[in-house]
Amino acid sequence: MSARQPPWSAAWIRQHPLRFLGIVLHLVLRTLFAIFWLAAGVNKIVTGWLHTDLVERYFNYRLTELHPDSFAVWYLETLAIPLYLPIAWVVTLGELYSAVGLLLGWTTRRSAFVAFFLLFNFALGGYYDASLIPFFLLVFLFMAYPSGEWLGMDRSRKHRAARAA
Amino acid sequence: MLAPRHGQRLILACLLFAYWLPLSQAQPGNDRNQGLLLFGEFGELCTMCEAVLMCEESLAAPEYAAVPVSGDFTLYHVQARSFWSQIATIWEWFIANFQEEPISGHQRPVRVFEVASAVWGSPQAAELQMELEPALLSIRATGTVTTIDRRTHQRFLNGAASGYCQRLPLWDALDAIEHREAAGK
Repeated sequence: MSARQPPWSAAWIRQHPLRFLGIVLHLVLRTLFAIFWLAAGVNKIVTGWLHTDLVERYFNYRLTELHPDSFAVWYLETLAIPLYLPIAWVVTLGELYSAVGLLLGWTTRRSAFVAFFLLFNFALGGYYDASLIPFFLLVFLFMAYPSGEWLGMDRSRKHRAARAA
Repeated sequence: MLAPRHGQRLILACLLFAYWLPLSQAQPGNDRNQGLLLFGEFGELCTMCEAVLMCEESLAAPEYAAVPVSGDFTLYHVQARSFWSQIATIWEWFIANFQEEPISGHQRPVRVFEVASAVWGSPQAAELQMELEPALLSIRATGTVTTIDRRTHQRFLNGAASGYCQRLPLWDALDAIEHREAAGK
């Protein structure tokens, strides 16, 4: 049996106990990450990110906290503040898409890549600290393994694609 | 493979769900805390941010535009949160999605400079405890407990009133500290 598609049978688990533990841990982390991102995406909608100037005020406030010569200031002034509303939509929808994808195991690796893209841009915009490290490690993990085929809608997608082929 | 229209429906359903989900009352910059020392429009001093406070024996909060060149005062260089304290913000951010009140307190390192008649003492390393409820900043250094009321900006040394504090413009204040430290070496 391949590690990519554990059958979840007692026999397979007995044969590969460590691999099974790793898969379970991976799925638990994926779910926790997804819940975190879902809450963050929902919170952005509830607090008016998509239809107010809140994000612009947020970016402008951040400018006062950053060193004037830093790259993040240039990034915010040149890109983020002029395009604050499209960015608010991209971030909110991106977070929701990643959250749903990772929760359901649906387009899991793409969802993880979107999460990576958002995190990378948070860092560029000066919203970085050590708390981003675990997030980056997790999205790399989710991109590296086909966890949606272990548990999630990617598993049935793959079967359907195989049947169609 | 999931048909595109199924994917679109899924996203639409999630958005509708999100709009109706009575999850969060969290608003940026809780109004009750606005105006507190070191509390900004969008909440507590950010994890990587620094700040410089100046306190002196005055009858009201001072309003200097930069570090004074003379007089007796104390500078508190509030530094970025420690590595593990930054990691802990993952939990704080998560909770902030569900509750109106921000997490009440955290610690960060601070350096204390005593300045007497333009002579700067060596910096003392200490820990600053930042609280919202009660709204206090507390520093313990060499037997002295300094408490600063974040609403009135009044300072207390071991419980006795000892002047007032202000937040100085950051980058000029950091330049002044760096310059003094370089000069003292």
